[in-house]
Amino acid sequence: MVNLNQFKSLLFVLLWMPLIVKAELVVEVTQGLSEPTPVAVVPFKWTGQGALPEDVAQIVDQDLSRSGLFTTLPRTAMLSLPSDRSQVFFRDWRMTKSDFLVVGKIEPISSTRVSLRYELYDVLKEENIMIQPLESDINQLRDAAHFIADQIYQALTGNRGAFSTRIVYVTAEQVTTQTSRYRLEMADWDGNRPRVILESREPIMSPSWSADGKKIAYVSFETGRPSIYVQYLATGKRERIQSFSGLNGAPAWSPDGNKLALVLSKDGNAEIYVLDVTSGQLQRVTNHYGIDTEPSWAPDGESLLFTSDRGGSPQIYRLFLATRQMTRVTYEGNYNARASMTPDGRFLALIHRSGGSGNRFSVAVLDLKTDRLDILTETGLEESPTIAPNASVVLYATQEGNQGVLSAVSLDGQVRFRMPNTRGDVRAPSWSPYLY
Amino acid sequence: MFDRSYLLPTLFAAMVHALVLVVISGVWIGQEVDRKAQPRHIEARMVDLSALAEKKAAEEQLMKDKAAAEEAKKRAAEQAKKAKAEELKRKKAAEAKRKADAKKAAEKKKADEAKRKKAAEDKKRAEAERKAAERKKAEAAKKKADAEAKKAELKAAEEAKKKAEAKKRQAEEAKRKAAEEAKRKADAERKAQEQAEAKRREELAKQRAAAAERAAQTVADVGAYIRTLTEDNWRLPSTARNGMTATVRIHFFPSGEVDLAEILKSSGDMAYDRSVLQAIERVGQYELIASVDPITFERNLRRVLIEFRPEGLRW
Repeated sequence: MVNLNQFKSLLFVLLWMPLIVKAELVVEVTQGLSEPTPVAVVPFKWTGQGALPEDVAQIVDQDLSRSGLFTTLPRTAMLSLPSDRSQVFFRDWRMTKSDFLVVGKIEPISSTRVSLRYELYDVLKEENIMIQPLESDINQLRDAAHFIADQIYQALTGNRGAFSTRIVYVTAEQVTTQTSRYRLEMADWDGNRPRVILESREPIMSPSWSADGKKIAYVSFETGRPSIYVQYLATGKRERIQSFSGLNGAPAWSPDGNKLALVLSKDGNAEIYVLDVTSGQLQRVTNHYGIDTEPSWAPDGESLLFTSDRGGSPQIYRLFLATRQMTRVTYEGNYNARASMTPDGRFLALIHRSGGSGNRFSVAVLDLKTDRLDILTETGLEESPTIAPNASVVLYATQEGNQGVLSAVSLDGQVRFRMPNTRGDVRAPSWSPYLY
Repeated sequence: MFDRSYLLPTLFAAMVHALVLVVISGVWIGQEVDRKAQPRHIEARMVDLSALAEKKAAEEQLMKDKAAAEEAKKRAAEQAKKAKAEELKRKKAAEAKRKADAKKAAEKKKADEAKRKKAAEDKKRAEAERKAAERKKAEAAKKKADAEAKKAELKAAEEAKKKAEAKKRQAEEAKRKAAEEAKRKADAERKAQEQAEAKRREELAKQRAAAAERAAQTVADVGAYIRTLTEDNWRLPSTARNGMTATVRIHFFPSGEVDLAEILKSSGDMAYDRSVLQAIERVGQYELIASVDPITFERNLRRVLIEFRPEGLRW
């Protein structure tokens, strides 16, 4: 009897215990602010003589803010300029509404080399996220700055930064009324440090990076008619891919680097071909009396996206190479062209013209999962969108006044910025893959 | 229940059970429920104990009332006992008196008789010669006197008896009346007490229900407050997608300050997890919690789960 009672009370306690201890309030939070993350990048302290050729913190600051994911604190709003943990008062940075803080210093090692050390802090939790020392040539501080920005970007977003990547583009400069000068140029992702890869009196078109970032394919008219060339960046060595009569254009490297998708009109009208670079074998993959052009590869290399007017207006189609199965991708608007896919395969960046918008061509992003199309730019003369390898930013060519310039917009459309001025018209940008 | 022979084993068994329970619950709570030790109360702040005090006062009042009732009952019982004893005494006295009276009457009768006998004999001796007619007359007179004496004697006895009986009846009546009175009084008292008790109990239950309701309302209010404040301070990272979920457990101080916020269930995305923790850090102190009464706080708000699950994002 006694034992039974005891057992009962024990059982009672045991049965109720989970309910007692689990009686916690559960709050559901479903809304938040879709704002960029505020970061403060404090000018790095330089302990050497004279001035450094580059303001590293400024470059980091600019990289982060141009990604569209961050807003940076203006230096004039900073209450102090710490260079390491001992000088940081988190309360100050809380007051400036910064969530994260970057401080750093640069010390000379020799007349040509410096050591950098930067620290990233979570202002709200008052804890360190990252401390990293590195060395750099004094003339390559820009590379170091992009590298630091990459590291911070990755630490804060979980995605790889693309600030150390490069872009290529074509400029056209009118020398006399009769002659022009065309240049194929390569620059940092932000348009700085441009250098000429190729200069020609004849048009250069459609540069395209190989997947390993070591060579570029492009179309050159230097022989009087369009031919496709491959140029190695390290050596400057060029190769001409076999040339056919008619149009040779829009080369695109496959993700594995073994194939080039091309547009040839050797059989009458423009069709898409796939060229095996090592064997030289050419395969025709489209066959239609409409124009098929501007091929680009899906990240898995198993399908091609291209523009075709077979349906009456230019639209994006997708062709699966193994099965030759073709699907139309875009339906909205009367013009969709120049598609390129984000590395995760979810979004297409393209040039779009809506039905009622007259002759305005905009950069748009199509969400393949939801079929939602977001128009990111409004000036109306956009062309050649190219996506950063981490899919954060879309670079495109546009017109400003009578001049072609490069602009970029973050994939969510929040941030837009213009690349620095260059000589002449700028067109046909192409974003490199990750370079290291 | 506790026979002498079973007492020890029973105690032993109870101790073993208690020990097992302590061990089990310790492991249980330590593992599943709370990996973190209960936060220290560093702040020495005055806690509003009025709710507790009220309850205690009510209970004390209840105890006092009960004691008073018991006292009254005891007093009534004592009175009844006293009355009974007095009655008994009275009865005894009456009986004794009655007995004494009867004895007196008998003695008197005896004395009278002796007197009368002596007189008769004297008369007989003095008037020995006055016999024949005289004797007859004397005899008749004697007879008459005898009868009369007897009659008187009888009457006296009867009267005494009657008197005693009346007295007894009266005493009994009084006793019954007193008992009845006492009983009625006790009944009334008990009834009143019961009523009061029931009323008090009802009131207490009502109070308790009201308090529970109030507490539930408070918790709901605070929940909505936490939600709003957190949403206002949650900056969604670019990696946030519809359907992502991260669950955070917040440990609060009674002031509403966040003692600790820990990811209980990760979204799998580093930036997302960081953003939800930052939202809580950015709030820092959920001030409304400070106004919650300590019991409700301990029960429902010391630890709170927040589920971050964005809706209506672009992708």
